[in-house]
This record gives sequence, structure tokens and C-alpha cells, in this order.
Amino acid sequence: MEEKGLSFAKSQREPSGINYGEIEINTNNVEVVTRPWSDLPADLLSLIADRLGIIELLSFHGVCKAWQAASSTASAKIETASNPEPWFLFYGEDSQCHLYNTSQRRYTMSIPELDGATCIASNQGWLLIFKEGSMFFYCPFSHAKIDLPKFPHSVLSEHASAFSSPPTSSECIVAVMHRDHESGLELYVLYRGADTWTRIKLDNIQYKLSAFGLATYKDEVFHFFDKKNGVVTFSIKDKSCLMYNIVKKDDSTTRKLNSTARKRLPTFVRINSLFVKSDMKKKLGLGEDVSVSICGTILEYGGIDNIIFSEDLEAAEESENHHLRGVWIQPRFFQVSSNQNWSL
Amino acid sequence: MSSSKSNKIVKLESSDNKTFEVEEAVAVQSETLKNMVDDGCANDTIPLPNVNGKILEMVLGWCKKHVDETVTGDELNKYEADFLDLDQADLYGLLMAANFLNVKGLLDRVLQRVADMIKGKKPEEIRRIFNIKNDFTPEEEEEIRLENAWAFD
Repeated sequence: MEEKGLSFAKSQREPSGINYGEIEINTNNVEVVTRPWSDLPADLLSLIADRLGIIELLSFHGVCKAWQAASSTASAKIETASNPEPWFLFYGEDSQCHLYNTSQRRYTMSIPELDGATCIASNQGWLLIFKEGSMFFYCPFSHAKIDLPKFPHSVLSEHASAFSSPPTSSECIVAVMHRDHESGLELYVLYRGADTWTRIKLDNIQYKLSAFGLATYKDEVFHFFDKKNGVVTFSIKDKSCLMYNIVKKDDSTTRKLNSTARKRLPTFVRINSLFVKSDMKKKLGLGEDVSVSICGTILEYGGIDNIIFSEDLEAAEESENHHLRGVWIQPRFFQVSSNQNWSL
Repeated sequence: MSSSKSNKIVKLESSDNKTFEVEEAVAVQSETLKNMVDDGCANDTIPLPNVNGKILEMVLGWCKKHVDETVTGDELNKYEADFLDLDQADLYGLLMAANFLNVKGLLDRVLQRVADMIKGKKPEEIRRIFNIKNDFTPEEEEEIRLENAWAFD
């Protein structure tokens, strides 16, 4: 592996026998100018880059300067079109991270940003990371990073977070539901361009949530699901919270409720215990003394949101040190300029 | 003008002075030519200084096949697959011509063909296939190599 890397760096410049924009005489004795592929118009190069998956896109970036420049907006979105299943990023052992694609092929990456960090949300290739009191958006494939204002808690207890759109959007809103013994249940909201988080205290009795499942955003409403049937909604239009119980639509009790007590939720499927059901612990070669926290994600497929809940797996044997983390992630390559930050 | 007779002929001249005559229905597979026909500019020979004869013949062959009602779906699929089995020089010419002439189905196929040729290849292999000069500095190359290392081990 070491050797291959070295030979890449030392690659020779192409031998001069190949034509770069020179005149070539073909067999009919007609002059034909061969124009090199690096001269292809940027808009055509961009159309090609848009059709590439993440690995191919990385190759494309490394071909020449023209190709690299033309692919600055390509993000490997096609990965999800061809296969809606997420990849799995496993971290927590210093900077060494393992990435598993949908065919269980394993890649190893060194990601210092994830050392000592917890991923609290994952959507369409962007991760929301909490690290020692700081919060930032991160794309592990491109290392793009956008710092956020400091979060009011330096240690996170129970949490569920979501963001309304990519952090590069001027309308991105981040919402973090937090619960601990001291402060109780709180909702923190951060608007794009704001330099502080807005705190909304929620009464523990009225907002009776069990263990947090996942947070999502749809149609201008944040939804915080627990692992039973509770959901708290936060509407960004009227800035109000409501507590609901998820019930079956055709249940006789439901039909008796008047229309104001009922609310139709966007079509979704809740997926609990994906990590366990996929036998990931075995695939990762983890022992019984390891506890794992996994951040879930949302897969949009066929117009339905598949909500993959976060999971917390306790170690079978008591162990202080082996707490590892994972996150379900869609592979994307986002490039942000070096002066991209949270302010507008 | 747009209610064209089925046997109206369009004359085209390639960059290397070859002339081609095709039925209007074939020519209008190209949005560019269709606009000229609709604007009444297609009565004389249309010069195409950025498409050579070899490529123009290929493109017109594609257009002809796509208006031929006797061709079955399967035959068309096979034709399209064989059509794109080209060396990179011809593929380049075809890509530029399909873009300029705006033959939609053809442009999509050629773009996809190029994307497929890139699949599974490292940057130096891509440069070899497409005859591209590496214009990165050694420092830039090292940076790229480090960024990509995880994908190509």
C-alpha cells in the first residue's frame, strides 16, 4: 500500500510522443487539430462530473487543473440515486476511522476532526458534530467544515438534532433537543447568520418523551421522535412546540378525535435497531466489552422518509475505555470556500 | 414554415467541405438545426465549421436511426451501444458535435460513456486514456494524493 502511494506522487509527466494541441496529419492528408480533453468546455466537464460516484469524483479531481475546477460543484449526488442505502462511518479510536460502503467494502481514513467528537445529526452527506463544547458541520469525504456558534452546554446528555437544509444554504436552521437531570428538556434553535442559540424550555410533564429516536425536518416543521410513539413538533413559522402521540390513522379512538386534536404527519417509516439488525457489531469485529453509540439518518426513497433511529448499545462487560461511535452517512463530496462561515 | 413536407431536404457542409443531404425529419433531431429550419435559414447549404465530415456522418447516422420507424427497441439499444464503442479521439469529436448540434439523446449517451470510462480508474490511468497532461505541481499532486489515499489503497 505504501509503495502504490509513492509511485502516485512520483508519476512521470506524460512522454512527449502524445499530441497536446498539435497538428496531426491523418491518412487522407487533411490537417486535423487534435484538441486535448483538458480543453473540453467547463460546462461539459461539469455534466460529466455530475454523473460520477464519490470514488470516481475523487479521481476526476486529480486528473488536471481544468477538470478539478470544472467539478467544483459536483457532489456525487448520484450515489443516492443508484443506491438509497447509507454508508457507515465508524470512529472513536483516535483519528482512525473506518468507512463501510453499501457492499460492505471497508475503507480506512484518518479524520482528526472526529477525535473526541460526537456526531449528533447526519443528512445528505453533512454531519453535525459536537466536540468539547464546539459545534460544527463537517463533510468527512471532502473535509469541508463550517463552524457554528458555541453551544450552551459543554457536555451533551440525551440529544436529538436536525437541520433544515444544507449548511451552505442561507436559510439553514439547526435544532437540538437536549435533556439532562439539571436543566430538564430544552430545545435549542440556531438560525443561519445568528451568533447565539435560542433556547426554548419545555415542561417535562407536558412534553413526555421517552428515549430519543431521531429528529427530522419537513414542511417547515422539526419533528423529534422518541422510540415509542411520542413526537414533539417545532414549527418554524409560528415558533411553537406541540406534543403528539403517533396513532394509527384508522383506529376507532383516533376517528373519534376532532380535527384540531389530530395532525397528519408526512409519510415516514421508522426504522429502529438497524445497526443490530444488520449485524454490524460482528462485521466491525467488535467484542463484548465495547459500547457503541450510533447516530441515525433520514433516507428519502420513493417519496417516503425512512427514519433510521440513533442507537445506544451497552457493552456486555463493564468497560470504561471502549466507547466507540458510528454514523449512517450518505457519501457526498462538498466543497466550500475557505471563507465560508455561518454568518450571512 | 413549420408544417414541413416529409420530403424536404436539408443540406449540410462539414468543416472539411464534405456535403451531406438529409430529410428534414432527420435534421431536426438536432435542436440547433431545428431552430434554423424554423427560422427559415435552412434553404441553402448550412455550413458547420466546427464538425468534421467523419463525425457529422456519425451524428446523421444516429439521427436517421432514431426516426426510422422500422427499427425495434432492441435494435435501437444495440445500435446505441455499438455506436459508442469509439476511441477517445472520435469520442471527443462526437461529444463536441452532439453538444453544438444539441442532439439530446446522443449527448446524454456520450456523457455517460465518458463517465463509464472513468469508473474505477485512478487519475494517472484517466490521463493515459484521454491523453491529458498532468499540470499539477508536485506539491499539489501530493495534496491530492493524501486526500484520495483512503479511496485508492
